[in-house]
Amino acid sequence: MKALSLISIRNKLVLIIFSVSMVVITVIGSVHFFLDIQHAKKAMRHDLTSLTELLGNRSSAALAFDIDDLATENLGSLLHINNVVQACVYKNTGDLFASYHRESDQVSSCPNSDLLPGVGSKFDSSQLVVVQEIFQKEMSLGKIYLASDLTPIKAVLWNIGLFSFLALIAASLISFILASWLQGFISKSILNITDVANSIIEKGDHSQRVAISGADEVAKLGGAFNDMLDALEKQNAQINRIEKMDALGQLTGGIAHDFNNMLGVIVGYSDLLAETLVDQPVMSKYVDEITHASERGAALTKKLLSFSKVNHQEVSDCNINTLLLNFHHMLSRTLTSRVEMTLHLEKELWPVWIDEGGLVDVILNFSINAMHAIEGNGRFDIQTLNTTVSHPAAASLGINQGDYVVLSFVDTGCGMDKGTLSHIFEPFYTTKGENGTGLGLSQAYGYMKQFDGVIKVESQPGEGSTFSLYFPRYSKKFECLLVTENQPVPSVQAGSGVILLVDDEVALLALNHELLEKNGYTVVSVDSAEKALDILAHQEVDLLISDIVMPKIDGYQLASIVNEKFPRVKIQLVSGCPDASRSALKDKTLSDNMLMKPIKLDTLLNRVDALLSSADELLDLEA
Amino acid sequence: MLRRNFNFTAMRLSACFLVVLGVMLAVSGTACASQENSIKAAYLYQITQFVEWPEPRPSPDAFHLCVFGVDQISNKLAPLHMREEEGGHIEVLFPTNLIDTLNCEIIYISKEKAQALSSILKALQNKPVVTVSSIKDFVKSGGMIGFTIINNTVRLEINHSAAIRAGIYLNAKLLEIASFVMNSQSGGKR
Repeated sequence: MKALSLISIRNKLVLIIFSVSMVVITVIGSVHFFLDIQHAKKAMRHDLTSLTELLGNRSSAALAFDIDDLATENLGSLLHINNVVQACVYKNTGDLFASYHRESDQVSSCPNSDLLPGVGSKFDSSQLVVVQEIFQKEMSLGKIYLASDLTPIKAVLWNIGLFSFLALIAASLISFILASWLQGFISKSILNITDVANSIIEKGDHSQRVAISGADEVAKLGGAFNDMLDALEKQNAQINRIEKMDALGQLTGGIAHDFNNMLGVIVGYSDLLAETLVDQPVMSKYVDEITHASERGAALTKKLLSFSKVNHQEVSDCNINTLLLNFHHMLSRTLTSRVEMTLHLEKELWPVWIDEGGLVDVILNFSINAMHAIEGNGRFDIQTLNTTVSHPAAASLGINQGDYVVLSFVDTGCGMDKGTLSHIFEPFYTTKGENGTGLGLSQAYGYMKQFDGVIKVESQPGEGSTFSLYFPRYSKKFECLLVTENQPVPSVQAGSGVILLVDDEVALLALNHELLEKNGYTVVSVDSAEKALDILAHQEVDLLISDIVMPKIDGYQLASIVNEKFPRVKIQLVSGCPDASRSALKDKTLSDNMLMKPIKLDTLLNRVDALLSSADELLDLEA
Repeated sequence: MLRRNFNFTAMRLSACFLVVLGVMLAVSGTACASQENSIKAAYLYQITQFVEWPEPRPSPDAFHLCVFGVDQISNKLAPLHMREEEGGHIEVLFPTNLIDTLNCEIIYISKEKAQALSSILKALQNKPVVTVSSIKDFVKSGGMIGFTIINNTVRLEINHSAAIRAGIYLNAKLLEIASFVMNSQSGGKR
């Protein structure tokens, strides 16, 4: 069986068909052979019995009138019947009356009548013996004994054997030819699938498909194989797109981080400059322009960070229907009167766990895109729907199976071709020329990725577009984690305390050092976590303000070490590009209270003041 | 033509035949008169096995074996007289005139009737009576079955034509064993 498993399916099928055919032919041949032998024996028995009856009948008168010459003459007629070896006629008394022996045989005497077998016929190993009683009008006159060799049966055996041998050879050839031909009906389709599979393995060409013919199981297998290839191709495309978008996300995240650091320096020094140029209105105006440009740059980096999933947002359970109803009026105004907007909202829509503010931006982006896509008058429908996504739709979308809330934007705009569709989520890709930033859909893409959702796009040139946003159904109650960046800030007062500043961006480090020092704090600044730890070991520090992205030991690791070794030291993390490693941080409030670069001076001072005040309260309590 | 309805049981016939055959064997090869008569008596009995008479027979429940004229064979046949057999009995008769011979199925004409043979045969011509005799040239004279001695063995001569004319069927086997068979067309010899 092991050897059988090594040969090809084609040869296996030939072997199976050939073997089955040969077994069937052999069995039928054997049965036929056996029946022929039985038939030959029966025929021989019948012939010899008839001959015996004839001779007995002819010998009856000779027996009755005791004319042995006549009986011997009658038996002499057996001379022409080659297979009869011996014939004997006995009187009623048992005495031998007449006999015949074949000339070619050595003469042997007739058996004694007492030793004769019973009336009838009997085969032994070498001959057939028939004994009949001779009657004349119901009166027994004697017996006749005939013995024949088995030449007729041997002849049949030889003929059948020869015929069977020749038939077997012919049948083998026919069977082999038929098997070789018939196996193609099964193996052809299987080999077709194998060829396609080999081609995919060797060349990596997923575009090939199995040619389907017929409707049998193999054809269904081929169909399933093709379906699998289709799904695989879609998934590969999805993976490629995701990988590309992730790479873009990392790139834009990195750029945004560096850009934020630069903006931080610009914003910081602009603030300082503004304070010193209060009495110079013209110069103050220039500084305001610098500050304003910096803020626009900060807004841009925020969008970039949104695409790269590293935005810091306020998430909560949200009913999208409520959100849409709240913003309905605003959206209608945005779309202008030439675009008729309709809401189709699912009753009892499932809640989702998202950042509402971010979703408003996403909705606005899609609405503005739709408006731009619609030339003249048109329609823009927003739909919500509860749906359960199961396999293979989930695999096709690249999401897990489960319950989803689908938010769809359907416009009657100009639609998109395949080339456009493959790029729409890339940052800075736009079809609006100078009218678009190319960040709207990439921001939406990053937003959906952040909440384990996905965007499905269906569009044809001239037939409008449908964007379906799949949000996982929210089923757990999470405590809402708030970003304090935008929280209202109390008024800033001059502070006191020792602050340890850590940032590998030396310019930013110097800026913050100066800002804090100017506001009454004692500041020690270092450009690495190692140096910070060294300072902490030798000097009393009230507050540690650390950047996150640093070489060797990053801000999270530093915070963890400080938390453990110097629990009295307050910590504030700042970053232009926080990443997922924050999940490793024990104290979640550190990451949740992180300040995003560029940091406004007021924001920084308020946070420092708040942290040092709480430290003072703790000291008072301990005292 | 119907077959003779004289039905002996195989057992009894066998027993009877054995007796007769024993006698036959005892005298085989010898030409003494007693033995010859015994053989002829056995032959007479055997002949009945190979002959079929036309229906109706004179007496359906009896078979008449007759000896016409004085002959030693009578002594050999006498023991069979009135022997009951299944389906009838054997009657050994000795008719004294030709009228009575018409009741016989088979009649043995003694040698002493040789002078009157032609008239006897004429009387029985075309009658369903098998005529048997040891008279020389009996079949040539118009008799049906004649006994003759060849090489010290009793053999039969048969006038098949006479039997046919009388409506009597002689079995081919009987014709086969005959040393001489006379047919009307060929008058053939064997």
